[in-house]
Amino acid sequence: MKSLKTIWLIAKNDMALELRRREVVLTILGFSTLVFIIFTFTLDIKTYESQKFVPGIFWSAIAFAYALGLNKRFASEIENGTFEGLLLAPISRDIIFIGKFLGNFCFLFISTLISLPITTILFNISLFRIESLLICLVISVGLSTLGTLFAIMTVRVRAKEIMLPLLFLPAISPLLLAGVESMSELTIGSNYSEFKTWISFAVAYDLLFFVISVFLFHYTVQE
Amino acid sequence: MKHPKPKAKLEVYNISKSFGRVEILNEVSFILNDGEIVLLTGPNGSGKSTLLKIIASLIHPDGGTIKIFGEKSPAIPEYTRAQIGCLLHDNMLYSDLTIRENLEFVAGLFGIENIYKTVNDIGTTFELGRIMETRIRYLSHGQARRVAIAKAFIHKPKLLLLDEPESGLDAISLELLHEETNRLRSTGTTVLMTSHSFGTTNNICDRVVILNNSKIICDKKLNEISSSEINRLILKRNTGQ
Amino acid sequence: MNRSHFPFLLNTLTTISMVFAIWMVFLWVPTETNQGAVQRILYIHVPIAWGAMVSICIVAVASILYLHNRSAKWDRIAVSSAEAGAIFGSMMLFSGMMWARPVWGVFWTGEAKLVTTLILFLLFVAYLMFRNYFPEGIQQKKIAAVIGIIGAIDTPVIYFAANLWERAHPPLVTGPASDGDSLLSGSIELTLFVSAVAFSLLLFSLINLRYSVHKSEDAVNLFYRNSSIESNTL
Repeated sequence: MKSLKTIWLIAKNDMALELRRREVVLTILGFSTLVFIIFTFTLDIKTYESQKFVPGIFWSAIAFAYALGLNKRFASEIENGTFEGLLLAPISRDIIFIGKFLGNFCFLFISTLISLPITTILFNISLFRIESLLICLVISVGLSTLGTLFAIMTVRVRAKEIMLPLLFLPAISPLLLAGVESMSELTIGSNYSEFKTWISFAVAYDLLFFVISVFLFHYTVQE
Repeated sequence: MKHPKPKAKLEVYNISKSFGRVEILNEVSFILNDGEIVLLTGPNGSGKSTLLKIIASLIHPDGGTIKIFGEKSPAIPEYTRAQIGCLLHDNMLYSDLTIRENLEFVAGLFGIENIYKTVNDIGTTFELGRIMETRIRYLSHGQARRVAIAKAFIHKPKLLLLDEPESGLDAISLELLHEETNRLRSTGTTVLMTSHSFGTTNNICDRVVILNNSKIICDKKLNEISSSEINRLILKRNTGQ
Repeated sequence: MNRSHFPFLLNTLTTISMVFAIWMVFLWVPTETNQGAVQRILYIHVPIAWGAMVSICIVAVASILYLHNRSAKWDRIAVSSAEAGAIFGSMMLFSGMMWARPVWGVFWTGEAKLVTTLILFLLFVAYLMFRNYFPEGIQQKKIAAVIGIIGAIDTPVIYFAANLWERAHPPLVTGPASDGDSLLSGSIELTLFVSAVAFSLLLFSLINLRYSVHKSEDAVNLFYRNSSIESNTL
């Protein structure tokens, strides 16, 4: 019970900070929208062939934008020493990780939800379905898990702006694939069983890496 | 389950630490007893802040042992860590949150029951009452440092680790710090504070430990050594190649 | 056998087996009828791919052992294997593309094995870059170990995902090998086996070589550290 309270306290603190700074969500939204807009120039969006690429564009843009947002978020924590402050508190490292993950997940999930109507408008492709919510939820969990872990690991590295994407993007490639394929089945394909297969794969991926990340996190924070 | 009452004691045995090829600490040992206020001093780069971070379990030493309230670091249990207060070089404050929000967050992390009252009390103690709703980024360096000190004291710790607490403080803040430190000492709290000079801290410290060239070169009660001798040892230079 | 003889023996065995393997690949084994001379690249490509997979397994095991007992030996093994794995990964991608173009008609397809090996190579590169950019010390080693473990766990997951994807998107290949694999005859199998042994020995030689370099580096750092202690003594 105490652990849940502490997790919520850490996540709530991060969300309060984000409401003041509006850094992470705006970075994710801004960058991903820019990418969508650029692709509307470079692709002939009227054709069916081009519309096939929209789920790929959506998740690629979100992944890159998220890496940018995470970098900003944790860089300021290290700069102010507030992350060290968390480590000094009488709470286990797992709780810190889960609290940070929860905050990051909320930022990402909100950003993907806002990006859905933007993509619908720009690419004339209907993403307003309940299954889209499920895809965004499941993929956001996985991206936030490994994103939080890798961001904390790389924040003290020189050239962290390239280090985080270099680690993060290859590692989450199966999840991106799952997001793209499940969204494609939803919007362009008609194979509901394929959609279920990809969502199940994404859920399994999320569970596997969440457990591993919680277990490995405390090795990454003590010098 | 009732946790055993912690002993206010810090034991440091043969702590060594290097960063790359540079030796920072070489077999540093000392013990802090209940209710002692110990000044750890030495020139810049002598390893004071590193030693404090090792004691706080933020840095893993290359060798040696640390015991806090009899528990071996870094595997000290949470109820023991809840008895430690830290003020490091960084203020560790969220610049976009208010003083109240920062203190409430820390109070929540340390499991304090009546958060609102505790935060108000510590705000009163450190004369922050008028500016509690101000964001940290709008405070002066000295005010922010005072908030950081309040943060370290908020849970009435039994062991206080203060890294250069007096830097940037005005006379009033210094007096508040000394008052509160003395008050905690009377309840059995042990304080280890660092400074790179020996000046204003001499009226509250019981003992002085001097670090120079990675080693402890002096560990004496304040009444056993003169101020001039302390300053001479701090200023002693390494003239090796 | 003295421990100091081990590198010499390993390197000698590697040289002999590699010479033998090269002779078999380029001179002994008959040219395959379907793909022609370009098929010989496979005798190098397949063992190299195998070597890259073995490397990531060694990185993972060594990383787990390092986190368990903090022995510098395991960290050196992990980083040496990652370096060897990066070399093998790049050679594998290059040889794969050289083979694929004349045989499949394309440099690259979305095939599961190709995607997995590309991402594996990127993970090796990221691991090594991280070690270079992070300040040297225990935390660098611990975080690198975590990256190694996650990379090793992720590799079969990537392969599984890519396989799933392949079911819905069959690879677009043309050319002489696009209809299916040619039958493996006895001489082809034997050559592949000898080549696999040779490249495995090469992998272990490279790991051993890099291990001794890292060990020497650590010894030099320790020497400088001890020297600075002596000069600091009051």
